[in-house]
Amino acid sequence: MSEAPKQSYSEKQKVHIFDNEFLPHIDSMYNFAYRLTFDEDDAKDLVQDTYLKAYRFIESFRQGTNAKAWLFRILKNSFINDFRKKSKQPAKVDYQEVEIYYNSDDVDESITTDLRVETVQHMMGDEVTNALNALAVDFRTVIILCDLEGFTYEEMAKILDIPIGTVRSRLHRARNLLKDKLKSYAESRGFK
Amino acid sequence: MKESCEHAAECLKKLRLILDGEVSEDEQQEFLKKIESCLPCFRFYNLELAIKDSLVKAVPSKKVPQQLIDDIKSKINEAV
Ligand SMILES: [Zn+2]
Repeated sequence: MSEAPKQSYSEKQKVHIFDNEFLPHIDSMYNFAYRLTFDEDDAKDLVQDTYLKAYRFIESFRQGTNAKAWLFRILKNSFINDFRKKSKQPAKVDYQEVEIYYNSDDVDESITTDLRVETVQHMMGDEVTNALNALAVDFRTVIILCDLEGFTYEEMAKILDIPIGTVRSRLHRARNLLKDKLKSYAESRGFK
Repeated sequence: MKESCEHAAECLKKLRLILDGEVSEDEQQEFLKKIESCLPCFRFYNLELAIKDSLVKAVPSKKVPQQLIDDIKSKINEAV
C-alpha cells in the first residue's frame, strides 16, 4: 500500500484525487473515528488530521487503487501514534497482555452456546452498541472494520499492519468476547 | 441430525470465515451442507448471523458535519 513507488501528480490531479477518491469516504472515516474515540470533537480532529496527512502524502497513493483502505490505515495510525498518547484516558485493558492470551491457538476456549437467536434479535440497539464499545479497542476495531465497514481480511491486514492469520484470530477472539458481553446483557435482563 | 458436535470449536471458526466471505464458493456449499445435519453448528451459524445483523442495525452511522469538510478543504488550499 504505502510501499507503492512514489507517484507524481500535478496540483490539479491532486485536487481531483482528493475530491473524487478521498472525500467520498469521509462519512465512513468519521464513523470509524467516532467509534474509536467516543467523542465527536476528537473524531473531527482525527478525521481532519487524516485528510491533511493524506493530502501531504498523496504521492504515495496510486490513483484508482483502494483509497478507503489507504485512508483507514492513516486514520488508525494517527489514532495510535498521536491520539492515544495524548489522551489521558488509559486503555481499559493492556492490549499486549490480551493479545498474548487470546492469540495462543491452544487456549481452551469456552464458547458461549446458550445465547438464543431470538434474544439477540430482540436486543436493544443500545445494548449491542454498549457490548461492542466495552471491548478493548483492538478487538473493537476488527469488528468495526469487518462487520460495519465490510473490509476483507486482506484489507484489514493492510490497514492494521498485521498478518492475515492475526486478523483471523483477533476477529475470532473479538467475536467470542462480544458474544460473552451480549450474553451478560441478556442475563441481566432476565433472558436466557 | 447430530445433537452434539465433536469439532464445534473448529466448525465455529469455519462458519465465521464463511459469514465473512473468506472461503471459496465450493468450500462454502460443502460446509453448509454438512452443518444441516449438525444441530449445534447449525444453531451457531444462525446465532453468528443474527449478531452480525444486530451490529449493523444497532450501531448508528453519523454524517460528517459539512463544516469539517469545509475546514479541511480550506486548510488544504492554504497549504497549496
Ligand atoms: Zn459441527
